[in-house]
Amino acid sequence: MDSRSQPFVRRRLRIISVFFALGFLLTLYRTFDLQVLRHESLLRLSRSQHLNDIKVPARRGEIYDRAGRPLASSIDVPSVYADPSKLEDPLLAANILSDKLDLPFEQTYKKLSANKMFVWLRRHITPDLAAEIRSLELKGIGITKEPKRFYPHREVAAQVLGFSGIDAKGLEGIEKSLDDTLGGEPQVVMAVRDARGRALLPGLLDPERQSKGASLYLTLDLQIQHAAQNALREIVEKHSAKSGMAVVLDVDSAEVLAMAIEPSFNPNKYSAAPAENRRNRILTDIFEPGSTLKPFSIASAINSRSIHPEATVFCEQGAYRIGKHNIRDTHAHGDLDVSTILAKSSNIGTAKIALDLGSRKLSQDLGLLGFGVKTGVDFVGEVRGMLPAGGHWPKITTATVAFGHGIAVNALQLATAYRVLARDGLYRAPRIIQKMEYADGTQEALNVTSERRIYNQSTIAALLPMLEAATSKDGTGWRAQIPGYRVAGKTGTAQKIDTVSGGYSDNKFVANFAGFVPAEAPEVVIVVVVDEPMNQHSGGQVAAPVFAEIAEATMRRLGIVPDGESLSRIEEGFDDTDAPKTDVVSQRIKELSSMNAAGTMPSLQGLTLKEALVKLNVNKLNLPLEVHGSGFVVRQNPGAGRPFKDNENLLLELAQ
Amino acid sequence: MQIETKNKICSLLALLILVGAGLFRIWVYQDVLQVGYQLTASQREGVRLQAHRKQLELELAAAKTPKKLIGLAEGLGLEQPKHWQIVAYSKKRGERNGQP
Repeated sequence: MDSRSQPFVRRRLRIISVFFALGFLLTLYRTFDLQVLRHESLLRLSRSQHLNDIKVPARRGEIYDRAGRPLASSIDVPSVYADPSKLEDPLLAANILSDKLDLPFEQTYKKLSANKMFVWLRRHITPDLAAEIRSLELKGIGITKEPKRFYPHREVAAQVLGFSGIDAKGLEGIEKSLDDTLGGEPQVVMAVRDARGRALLPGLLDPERQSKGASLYLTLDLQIQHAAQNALREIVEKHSAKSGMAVVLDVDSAEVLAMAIEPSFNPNKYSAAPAENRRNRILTDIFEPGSTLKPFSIASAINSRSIHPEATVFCEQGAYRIGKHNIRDTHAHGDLDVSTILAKSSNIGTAKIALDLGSRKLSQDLGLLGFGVKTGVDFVGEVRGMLPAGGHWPKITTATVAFGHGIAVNALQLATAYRVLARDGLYRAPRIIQKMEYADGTQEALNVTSERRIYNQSTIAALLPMLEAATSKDGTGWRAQIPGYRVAGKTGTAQKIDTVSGGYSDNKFVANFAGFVPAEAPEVVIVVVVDEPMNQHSGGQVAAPVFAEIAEATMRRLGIVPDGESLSRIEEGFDDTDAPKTDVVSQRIKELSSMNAAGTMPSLQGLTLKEALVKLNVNKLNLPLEVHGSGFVVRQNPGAGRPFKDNENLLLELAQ
Repeated sequence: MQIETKNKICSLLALLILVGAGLFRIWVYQDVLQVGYQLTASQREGVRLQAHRKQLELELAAAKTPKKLIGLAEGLGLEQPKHWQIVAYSKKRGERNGQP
């Protein structure tokens, strides 16, 4: 290379260097633009090409009874949709599908001709129908699965559970009250997809677990609930009543074991049921409790020592005037003791006791018992009831409230208040939801409340025999008796307000009964309310028999055995029309029990096992017993006439 | 000459390693894809089986509803025991023997 060409080469090198430098700067700028300035949008674009956001709809939590039996659950069922943009012949498709899916042709054709990419044709169809539609292989018609709420026990506890709509939103009952809890949050799961759009490696989350709402365990017991509804349905039909409701409350925990309302409805087909059958009347409807409130007026008076339990009150021979108002009893009574006032359900006697007590104390105690305030169960639509405001009531208000008029309560409030009497004077707010179980399996107890004292134990001890007397042969509530158990309670009959005249109706009543069983160690409180029964209308005639039926089923369910003393009420002569012939049966029990007093083995031949055990007084003797077969005793060891020996086995062989 | 041969061998080896690594990566990626498809299919099957189990549980619940059981029992001639047929000689009264 000569010296002349050197400057030329240098120049060329410089030009090339500049080009390279410019190229490098351009590349640098482009890199900055792609990596920094347009990073977000390009990342989104890139992800959309090979990643797929799968939106997992939240699975609704289940609802169980207290024993873990499913009351409401969601299952996936097929639904048919269309993408009208892909349809080759909307007219043909509309023809076929309107026929198969039982849809109006015009509506189907309109949907299939719409300028849309997605329309629902029919949701929640049967698997067989889905298979049939799939076999048609219509382009643009697809089948997807959607969760559908299912209530396996149909009418049982329907108003408590409520129902959820087609889009899995709670519309009534607990489904609505706890919709957010049950519903859960929809989950977005990222998945890689291949060139054909198929999902691949769908995230690390288990969509089933992650997006499920919490499940609820109710305090209801399916069997007691069923028994309560059955008993209630029969009486509502028998008396052509407008409706009936019953609450069964566990005395120890204040948990609601049953909340029965009749007529009921099938929540699987909720749209077919009238709206009044779908509401939870126990919480949304109020009524004047009538005489079922009297025990509280009397308890308050005994508790504040304004009356002695053994005192007598003059009942004015059936008519008592307060200002311009007359208070009447159904029968004329003179002097009655407090117990008889309750047993005979004297309005005048109760009013006089309440007037001596004073309105301030009465209103205070009724407020503490939960009247006029919500019970606290998680339920949309619960009403507070009505308790006259303030503590200074006119005399007539004090008198009428004392026997359950001029005050309105819901059935759960009444049951909660009766639990105070059953529980030695202690109040506890009721609860219907026991616990919540999250999707990860952890559990949380709900609404656990503490007890507070309202009445002294001595007050309750004085009142209990009175409530037992009210269900005795001479009481208004004798139909509430059940064989083998002591029952305490009170009947109530209240005239309804006539919406036209504004006064009390002459032919519309609310019959109710509230009580608990077994009276000596209460396990459950039961309140029965029957709205507008025909023919008969008193609480004793209409509601007390339902109480007895529910109480009997509940005792059986709880495994509480009948006691020997109350066996006197069983067997002959116990029906709806006659009072139990207690004397005859008591005598028989006494005879049987006294036969083994001499210490020798009596003859048990021909007796049932129960009769044999009563005869032997086996519980007191604590004999080791061995029983074979069923029916009547055909053989026994030791034999009749032989003396008892300590620790000797008693063998009984039974046959039909 | 020797150096040239040595260089050629080294280049060839490097190329072979490069090609081998490339093939290995493709093989691994293919394997990952297959496992991914299998996982997706298994997951789908799991969800299907869970749904089926739930359906069966509900069918069982519907079959065991008290109304049906009582109907069946009555059909078989069974009935609730009368009071004189209930015998309890070990439990104290007041103890709950059953649910809940």
